[in-house]
Amino acid sequence: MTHNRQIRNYRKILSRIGLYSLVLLLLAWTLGPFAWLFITSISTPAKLNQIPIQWLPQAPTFEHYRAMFDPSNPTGELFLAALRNSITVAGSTTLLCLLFGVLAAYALASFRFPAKQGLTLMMLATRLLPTIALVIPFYVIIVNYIDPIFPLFDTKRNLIALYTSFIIGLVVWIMRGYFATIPKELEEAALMDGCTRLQALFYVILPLSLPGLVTTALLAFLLAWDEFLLAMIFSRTANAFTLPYFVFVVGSSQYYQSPAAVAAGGVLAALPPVILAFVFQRQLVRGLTAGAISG
Amino acid sequence: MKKRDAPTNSPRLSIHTSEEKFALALVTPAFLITVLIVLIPLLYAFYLSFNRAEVIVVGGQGGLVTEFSGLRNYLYFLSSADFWYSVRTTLYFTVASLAVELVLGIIVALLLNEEFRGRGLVRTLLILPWAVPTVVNARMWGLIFEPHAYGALNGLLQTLHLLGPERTINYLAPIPLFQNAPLLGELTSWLGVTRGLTWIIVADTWKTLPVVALLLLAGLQSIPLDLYSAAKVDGANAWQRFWLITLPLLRPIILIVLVYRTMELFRVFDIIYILMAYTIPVLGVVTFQQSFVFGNFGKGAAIAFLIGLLVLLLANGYIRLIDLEERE
Amino acid sequence: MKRVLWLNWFSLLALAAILLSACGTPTPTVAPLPTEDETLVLHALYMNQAGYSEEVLQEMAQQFHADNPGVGINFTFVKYDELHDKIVTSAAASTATYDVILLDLIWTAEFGHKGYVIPLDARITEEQKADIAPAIFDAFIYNGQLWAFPFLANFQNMFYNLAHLQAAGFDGPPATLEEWYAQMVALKEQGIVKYPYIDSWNRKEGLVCDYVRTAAQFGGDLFDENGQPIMDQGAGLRALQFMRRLLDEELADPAALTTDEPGAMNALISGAATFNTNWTFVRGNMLDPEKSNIVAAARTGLLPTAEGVAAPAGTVSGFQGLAVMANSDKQAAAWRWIQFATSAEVQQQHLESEFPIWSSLQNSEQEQEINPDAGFYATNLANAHHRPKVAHYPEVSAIIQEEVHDCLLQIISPEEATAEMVQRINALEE
Repeated sequence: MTHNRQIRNYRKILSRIGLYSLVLLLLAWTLGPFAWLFITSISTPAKLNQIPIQWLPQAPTFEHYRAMFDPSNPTGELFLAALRNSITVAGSTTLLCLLFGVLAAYALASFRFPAKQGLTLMMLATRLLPTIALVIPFYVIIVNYIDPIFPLFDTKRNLIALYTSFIIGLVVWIMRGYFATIPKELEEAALMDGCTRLQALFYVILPLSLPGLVTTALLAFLLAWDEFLLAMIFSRTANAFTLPYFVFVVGSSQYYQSPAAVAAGGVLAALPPVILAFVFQRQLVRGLTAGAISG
Repeated sequence: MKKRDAPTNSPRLSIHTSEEKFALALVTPAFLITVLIVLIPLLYAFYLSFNRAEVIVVGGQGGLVTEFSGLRNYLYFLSSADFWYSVRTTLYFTVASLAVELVLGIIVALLLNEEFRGRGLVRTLLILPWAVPTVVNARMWGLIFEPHAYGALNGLLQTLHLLGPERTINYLAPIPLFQNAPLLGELTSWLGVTRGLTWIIVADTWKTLPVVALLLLAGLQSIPLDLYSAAKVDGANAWQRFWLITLPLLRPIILIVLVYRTMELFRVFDIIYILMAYTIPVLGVVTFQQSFVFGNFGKGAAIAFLIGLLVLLLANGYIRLIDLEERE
Repeated sequence: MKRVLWLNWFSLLALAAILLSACGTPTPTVAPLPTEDETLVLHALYMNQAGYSEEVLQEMAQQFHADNPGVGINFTFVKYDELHDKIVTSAAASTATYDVILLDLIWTAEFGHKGYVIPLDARITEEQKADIAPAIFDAFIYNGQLWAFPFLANFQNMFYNLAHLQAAGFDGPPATLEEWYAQMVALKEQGIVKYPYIDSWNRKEGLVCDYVRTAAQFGGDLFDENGQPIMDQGAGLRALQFMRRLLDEELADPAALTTDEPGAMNALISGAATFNTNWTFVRGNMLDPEKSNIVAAARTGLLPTAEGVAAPAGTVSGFQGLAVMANSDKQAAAWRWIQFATSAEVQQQHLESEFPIWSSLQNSEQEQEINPDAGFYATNLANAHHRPKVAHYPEVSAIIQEEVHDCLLQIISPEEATAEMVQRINALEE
């Protein structure tokens, strides 16, 4: 009897050890690469060329971070401009997507009207298109036909418009699913009390959908923050460079390479979305699940 | 509780012209944004794809010189061995990534579904890679894959004595896997299964695994626990419980992950362009090269539509799969 | 639960700090060219590089602005890999998105042929022509017209680690290609380095450069005078065989296959490799104690030729010129900037970092003093070979890159690779 229990105990301990080693492995895989990015960012070039590899810098240097926040050198100037642009572009894109996306999602969820199905599908289809398929016509149309009348090349408003068109479909999709889960009786009660449709939306439905809104906003923001190809094609100066483009160019060229600068730029560009993801982790996961399941 | 999506007979929400108008007014802005910004350029690209469109400057004016060429751009690719090689390479990237993401995703989800100390913290930390921007991810792995002994991965393998002190691996070299094995080597060369692309799959998986794992975890959490206890009573071991309960019940969510990831993987561009420029000719990279390097905008547009077509075919396949699932 | 909440607050504060730091910074102070009273702003497309770096060019722009108060300059610095694509997109716009562009010599024919840039013949003077070596000028001539003004005389040199050579019992660098090979074998056999040679053989333009350079070391070219591919015979074939052999015998570092120029330089200055054939930028870096572990042993030398080749050295040109976009609406101002930025007076200020294009400067005492290796530079430069001048160069280059790379990856033989190059390049002509 005691023997059996002992075996069972051993087994339990062993499986705990197995479990915890797997968890450690998962943590190492998840955090290791980013940790190396950070270590690289505070290393000197000579340290990075050492054989055998030196894991921790003996004399960490924060010069690359300092350079990024120093507007008096070109890297810093570009970085700060890119940071500002990324905030403006991702922020405005999110706001526009939410404003128009929520209205459309509400209509698609609550009303029946002609061509509803077609509209929904078309909005969703925009998400399926590869960006690369649109870069060519976007570029030709913008620089040849729109620019002479209304300058768009190398502006933030251009990126905001393009990103909004890509992301709004997703916002409509997720919010439509979210609205569908809100009991209709609540809205009907509000209408009985004399609310207009819009009032019902803003005072009853939206407050109830707040978690969904937060998630959708976050997803839209992260998607806009991440975009690279259009930013590369459509920006020329610090007017429109965003952080992904900055990280692409920083610290490297045909005749020049600075891994530490790449790493410092990378860490800084990743920090805002990483912090947002940590803070809103629960909502994000829930939203992703909802988005996926309603899909 | 009535679901809003269900067709309703309530008089308030039925078809009234005023309501119709109101609804249309709400949809219009979003609709216009999509139509103006996406559909019109798309039509223009469609037009370009039937033209020889080259970038030429004439009389101080730049632009495209177009000349109708019918299906020539499409035929050029469909009859080109390079194009089909690109299709196979892109498929390898898509399928291998999907397989790795799903298998690892299920393992991670099962792990996170267990009770252990610090589980909340681990779940929070797990999301980090997903939040790291794609460009940062590409450049980070570029540093890690540095082919010399001072590169992080080579250094790690040497420190762990998995590599001899003199040995280093050139991770991103586009060498077909098993290059020297008789038949296998030919197969991998034909498929475009190279060492470089395989390591890029690792890098890409690092970023996408968290979402896949967390979606699957949500699926796991929705499985009623009494199913497991009942199976236990019936004498099913852990392995059987996994095959008979977990996997079948996860199927819907696995299918959703498949659809959503296939769309993203098949149009891959950023990470491969940033790490390898034009060395690995996945379809996205070839489109970019045709248009912006060779200046053939017509061919670029044609191949973009071919990608769209292939994505549609894949999506259609999945939708049938899901339909079948639902009918069963 | 409490801890997580605290963590959230902390993270939010950190985020707010980052975001505020961006918004709170005053407008940039570099090159504060007045924009209100300005009549026009030139957009200039350059690439990131060491010598003529962004700082240096901003300073130059300020000097220029002092003389031309009506003209401001807005620079865009891109990676080399992006440069060509940005120029193509600029030409696709009705009015150019860039007025001045940096033109790598390989694009002379393409841009001239498609009319992307304007011919400059009417604008240059006889004195200018007389003071620039024909070999440099020539690189920017296509169809008898000059399409860009030379700006930077870049070319490949031999950089090596003398300490390694001495440890292997040699007193100096190789005089011939055969001797170079023998030195590599000795270095490897004696275990002084694992791979004596590193180069930038990733599948990019640099690979074509290295192939052209190796062919030059064998005394020949990949294309004949009429632009026809001939790499399946003579120097072209021998060069590829040589490159492949170095990899087969593990004399060249296999990492070269995914390495670009700065990466190859790193292997040299870390002490991992003995030889690196590379552009002029290496010299400054290998002598910089902040970056280099081999400052005392680092040397510059000639690129040795094979026995029986008359030339004392063989290398490849990588000249850069400045050109005016044909669809620019500010061509006069653009040309004024180019004249200024390439002038001997300006280049004289930067002898420390870049080898000048003007013969009078190259041979000046000042240059000899600043760069004791100027003699090697001059000999290498005098024996520089160009890559082919064809209108569809990007396609040609893509083919060469692919075939050479496949050969060096040991997928196909040098004979197959060169034969396929010839066949595929000939098939390109429509």
